[in-house]
Amino acid sequence: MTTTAWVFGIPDPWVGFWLPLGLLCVAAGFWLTDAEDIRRRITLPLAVVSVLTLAVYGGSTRGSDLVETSLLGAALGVAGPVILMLVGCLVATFSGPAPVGPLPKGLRPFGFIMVSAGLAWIGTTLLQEPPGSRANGSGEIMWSTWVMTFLSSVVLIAATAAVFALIMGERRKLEAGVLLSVGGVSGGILLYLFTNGSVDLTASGWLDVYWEQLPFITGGLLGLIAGVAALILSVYIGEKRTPEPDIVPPLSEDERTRITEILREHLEVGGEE
Amino acid sequence: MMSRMVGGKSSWRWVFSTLIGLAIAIDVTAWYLRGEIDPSSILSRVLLGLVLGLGLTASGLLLVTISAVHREMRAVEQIIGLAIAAGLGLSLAGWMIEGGIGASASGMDGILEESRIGAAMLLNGLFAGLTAAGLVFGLLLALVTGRPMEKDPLLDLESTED
Repeated sequence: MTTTAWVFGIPDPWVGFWLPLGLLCVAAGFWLTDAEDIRRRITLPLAVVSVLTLAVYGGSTRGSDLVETSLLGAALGVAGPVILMLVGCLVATFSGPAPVGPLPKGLRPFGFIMVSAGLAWIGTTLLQEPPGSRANGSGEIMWSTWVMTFLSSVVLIAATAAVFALIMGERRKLEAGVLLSVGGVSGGILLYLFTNGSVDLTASGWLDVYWEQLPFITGGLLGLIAGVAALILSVYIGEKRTPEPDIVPPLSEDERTRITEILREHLEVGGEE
Repeated sequence: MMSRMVGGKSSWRWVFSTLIGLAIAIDVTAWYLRGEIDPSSILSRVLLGLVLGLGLTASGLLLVTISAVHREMRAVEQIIGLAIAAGLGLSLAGWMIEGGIGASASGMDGILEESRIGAAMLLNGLFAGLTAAGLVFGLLLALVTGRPMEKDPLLDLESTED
């Protein structure tokens, strides 16, 4: 790797993409330490350096067909609608009648409009010619896998949440209806892609993505759950192996006197004993 | 509301039945429209995703644990357990990739290349899934908190401090 490469960009994905992700895990560990620990103070700088390295890597490898660049391209492509939907949910929540709602009440419809606009924005990207980073190669697979996973997840989660709201809650027909509508629209788009395809990918291409990538991602989700279960199991074993604490000797006479003094002093403040 | 939630074990059955039934319905639709699928290939993709996901998750959690270790922490079992899970997951993924299960590659470089592609794809799927969950649950939260409700009488109580 030349000096020029280091100054103007990081071409190696191990250094530019996977190392910052590892450093973000290290930063998360540092953040969990005690406030007095010196590691806690370098959490933020470490996280910022990691994110900047990712940004420099993403910028310097633009146009190539690396899988990491494709992932960053897909993430950047949906960043706008995702942020719009997130802000819309927050605006709608905090402008409602809840006591923790500091936003003006009139903003509530705009929150829902922002959520709908975010969803529509993702829908319109399927009707347009994709940019270079998502047009072909790994970029196309990464983008189409994102769309397929997102739509399938929305259908499954929205329908499940709607049934949950109907069965478990009271007078939740409006909530269930809205969730079913979101799930229905996503299901409609999914079915349209399966039968007609999109501007850049045929229907058989979408079906290939569904059968090749979604099983892999489903397995990955199960693996993630297994990894978390491994953590819980190892913590449980560690706790079970923790030795019993030593028996504390009873209080001495001086300690008893001191505690009695403290209690009397504090209880007398209120005028009662 | 409480009585409905506690009383109905079958309620949860309905929720899970909806989830599984819908997933099967989408699969059957995609199967019908594609015409032919290879179940063994799909199963091997699921297994490859599982072991790679296990290895990556355990590796990430191992990094977090090692970075957070301090004197009062009992972390030996946690570190050993996560190291075993990470080693097992990544070794099995490497073995599956080398053996041509789900993907095909030869040599260490080929295995690393395929693992990189798989890991990026898993991150992509995780991002999409989290976005979908955030959208649905965010919307549900906004709708539920929007219901008019009686003012909490506890909010009117004054503090007992001077």
